[in-house]
Amino acid sequence: MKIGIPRGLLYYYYFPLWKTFYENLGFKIILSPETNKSILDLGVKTCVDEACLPVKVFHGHVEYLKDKVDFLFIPRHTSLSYGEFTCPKLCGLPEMIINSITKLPKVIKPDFNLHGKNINIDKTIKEMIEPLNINIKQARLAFFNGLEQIRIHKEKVFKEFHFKYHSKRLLVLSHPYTLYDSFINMNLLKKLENMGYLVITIDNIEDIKINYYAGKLPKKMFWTFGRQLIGSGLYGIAEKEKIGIDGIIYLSSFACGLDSIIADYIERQIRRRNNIPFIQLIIDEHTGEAGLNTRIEAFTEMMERRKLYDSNFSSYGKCIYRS
Amino acid sequence: MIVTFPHMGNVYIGAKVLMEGLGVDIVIPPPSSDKTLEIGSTYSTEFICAPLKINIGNYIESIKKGADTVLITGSNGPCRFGFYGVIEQEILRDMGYDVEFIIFEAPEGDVGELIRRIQKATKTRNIGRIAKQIIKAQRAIITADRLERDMLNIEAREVKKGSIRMLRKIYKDEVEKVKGEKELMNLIKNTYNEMTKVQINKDHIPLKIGLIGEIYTLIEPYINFHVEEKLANLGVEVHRSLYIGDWLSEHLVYRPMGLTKEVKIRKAAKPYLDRCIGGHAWETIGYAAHYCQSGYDGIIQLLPFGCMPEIVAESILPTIQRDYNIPLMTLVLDELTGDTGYLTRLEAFVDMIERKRERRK
Repeated sequence: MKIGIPRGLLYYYYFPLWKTFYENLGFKIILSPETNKSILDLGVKTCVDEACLPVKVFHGHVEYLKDKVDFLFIPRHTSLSYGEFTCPKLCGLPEMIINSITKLPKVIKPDFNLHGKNINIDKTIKEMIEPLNINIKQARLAFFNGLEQIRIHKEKVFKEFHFKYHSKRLLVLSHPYTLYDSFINMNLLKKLENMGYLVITIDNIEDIKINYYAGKLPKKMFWTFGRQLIGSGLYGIAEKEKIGIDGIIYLSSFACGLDSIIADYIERQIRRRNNIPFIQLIIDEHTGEAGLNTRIEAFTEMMERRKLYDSNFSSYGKCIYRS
Repeated sequence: MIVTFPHMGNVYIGAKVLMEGLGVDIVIPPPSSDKTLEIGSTYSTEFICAPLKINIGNYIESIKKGADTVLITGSNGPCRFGFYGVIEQEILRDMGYDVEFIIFEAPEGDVGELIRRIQKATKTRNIGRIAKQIIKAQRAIITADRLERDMLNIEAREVKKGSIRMLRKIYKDEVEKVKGEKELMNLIKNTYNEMTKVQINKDHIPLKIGLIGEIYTLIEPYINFHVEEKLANLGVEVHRSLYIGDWLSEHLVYRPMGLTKEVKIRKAAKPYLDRCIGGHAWETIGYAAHYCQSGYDGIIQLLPFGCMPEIVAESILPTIQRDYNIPLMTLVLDELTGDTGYLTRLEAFVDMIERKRERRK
């Protein structure tokens, strides 16, 4: 029996869990290929127009997989930690898929909900094996093996960059599904690396720092990714010498609801202090690669020059409001 | 302290009754207009949803009239509305306005803090008095909502087109001038008396259209280009899914007691969406299915551009349309929506369902 997993959205965080879980139980996992032009086109064709790029790409992966598998795994991530939510589109993802794509195989749609005080992991496990006819005890064991794999994966990602040596560092803020999908972001990470920068992401920053700076907000941030992004952003602004970053790149997809709040908040903080270069790159399905390259090159060059002839005031004089 | 608040349908009537009853100075922002939206979209961030842009415009117009404190509600859901207070404060600060924000919410479940904030905004510590005024304000909003609903029903059937529109204009002008609850109730009573004089065409069976979608775009007439009045003018009976009065009683009275008035709606939504995913997606789906079951001729969904929960709802709606075979149209609204194109689409939609009804006969 083959279970299809689309390579999109939170695949980049939780795939170790899903893979370990189903492989321990003796199923074969079919993963869709890395995002490419044809998958993007399939996604754009099936998804509603107003959705953001990662969601469209996810639709494309499902459309690609649907004839090749017996079951389709579409998780619903209502909440990833206590008292927090994810984007509403992730909360309603199975509904979006089921209603916009026809002729689907049987869909497994477990609900990962860690929002309340009483977390019911057992319910999630039951939903994960619902149509599969598996013993719940076996499933529980597989699930906890999977959780162990996630921990190992996270640690690996966290430590990875400490082994590399680069003199120049950059903070790239983005959701994992745009950051790690090299087709969506047009190989941004590789490009920056080739320019000689070490890229720091939200996964490389200690939780304690993220939580400390996110706690400085006047209100508790109720999105998990929002907390991570805003915490890392403010950490980058406040302690840029300590991390050694030269600038901040905010990569967001067009019409992303979370980014409209978070990127704006970070940008306003930077404008007030005026201490670190910042650029927001916005991508959607029409973005041309040349335009993105130009902007990255201009930005990095600006940072270099700032280091050499540092007079630290902007070419247009004072910090102005946008118009 | 002179307080102000953003516009949202009939909220200003309630706020007037509440604050004037308690003796707090209040500035009601001028009705939202193109100018309001222009100010708002100039200074707020690009991809934020349209309600925030209009809110910013409202605040600035009020601040110019002398307001120095802004009242707004908050939320903790996955919808962006929860962060309106914070981001609006930042925007106004960057523009150089020094205003205080009082956000009505219980931060992390702290009800005591919410009560303290209400006491601060109303400048009284007497909770009994506040509660009494809140009940009065709530009643005023519900009455005003009902008046609007009845006006639309008559407008769909009136013999001489435009007579209700005249009445509405007079009423809207008057309502800004009245002070206190008593005068308001008198005004509403007088308007009802005037309405009974309007001649009704009893043979005309109007088409029935249900309006669903995001609460702000449904309730605020400026952003939806007075869609209800336009439809009523075309001779259509409109039913809107959300009213501010009902929403308030649901969230202030029923939900805290663990009850809900929307059992029917949730039941209708169950085959399509069985949980709250933030915003009003659940209600949108529920009301869509409910309208289909109760024999409406068409359904229109309204959403501001980029609204996250409504995008999920939008992708579910085609299934409902297929299941019940009822025409459904989605209108996305933002600061760039053109008036004429919008009206054309409404007229075409009404024509289409009219023809569909004739064919059925």
